Amino acid sequence: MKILKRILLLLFIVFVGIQFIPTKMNVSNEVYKADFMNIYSMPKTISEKLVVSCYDCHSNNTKYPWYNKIQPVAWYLEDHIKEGKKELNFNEFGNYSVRRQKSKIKSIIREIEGDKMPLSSYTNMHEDAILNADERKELLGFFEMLKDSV
Amino acid sequence: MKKSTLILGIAIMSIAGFTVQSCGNQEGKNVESAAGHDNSDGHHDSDKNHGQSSDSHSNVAKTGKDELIKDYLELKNALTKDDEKKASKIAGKMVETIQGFDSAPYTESQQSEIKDILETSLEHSEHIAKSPIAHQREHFKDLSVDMIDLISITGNSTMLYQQYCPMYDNKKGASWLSADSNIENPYYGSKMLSCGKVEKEYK
Repeated sequence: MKILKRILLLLFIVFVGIQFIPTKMNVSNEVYKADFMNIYSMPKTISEKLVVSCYDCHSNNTKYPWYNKIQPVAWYLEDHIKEGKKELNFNEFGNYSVRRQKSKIKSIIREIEGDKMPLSSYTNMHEDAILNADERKELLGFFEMLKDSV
Repeated sequence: MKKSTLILGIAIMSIAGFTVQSCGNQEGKNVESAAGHDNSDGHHDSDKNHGQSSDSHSNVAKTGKDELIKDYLELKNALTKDDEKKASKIAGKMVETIQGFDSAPYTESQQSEIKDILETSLEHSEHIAKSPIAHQREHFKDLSVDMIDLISITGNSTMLYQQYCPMYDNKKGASWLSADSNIENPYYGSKMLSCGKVEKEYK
């Protein structure tokens, strides 16, 4: 029992210790001129859904719930967000070449059609990010239209 | 009693956390060693290759449209044979070919178009290199558009056939390039190898 207590104490110390290792939070107050919503007009239903379902990993601003600020969860997220922004950053969308924008819109359509995005590991924790059938249809209609006009 | 429950809870959380971390690391290592293995396979081909691949990225060998089309056609052939592993290996090679592409022989306006094409084709190749075959084919569709647009600027040294399958991608259809007029469908492979038709010829 004494040994168990010591092990637990040690783990506790480690757990507290790793909280002091700094993580780069994906938070920014900047206004992005090249933001997707700034360069293309869209109904509010779409822009709001994009922010809730996509912007956490595909923009320079993540809305962190409290548990995501705790290590080692924060490390895990940091990697995810880095990868997400590399693939598609809505804040930088207007800086992409027209060809790249088209390519990204096609990928967005494919991901929504195939129900691959938002990731289930994300929607498990963020129920409001789930796209229901109507929302999916609305988003697909919008992106199909945009694809031809870019 | 309460205090020890709390400590226990926190301890379990941190153990769980470490497990997540180490699993992540493990995955990374696997990828690294797989890539390393691929490289060593490549080295068997010749000693020249060995010298080149140990160079840094800034010193990539210069390539052009012919090397790029050659890689693309190899990739296409791998997909017609449903060979995911080979496709990913060739796509990895294609990434280097794209990075080494020398656009100096072209005019300024051509260069800017080529730059945009190479940027998206690089992304598609990177995805093909690390994805299962269904996703490889999705990106191959876009990569094919890139290659068709590229040869419309650069021209081509060998005869190419632009072929088309109307069924792929929810019947939106998809094109590809082939060195042979015979249809061998890279989007369906053995499932529907002969589906498609020649759309255009590039002499």
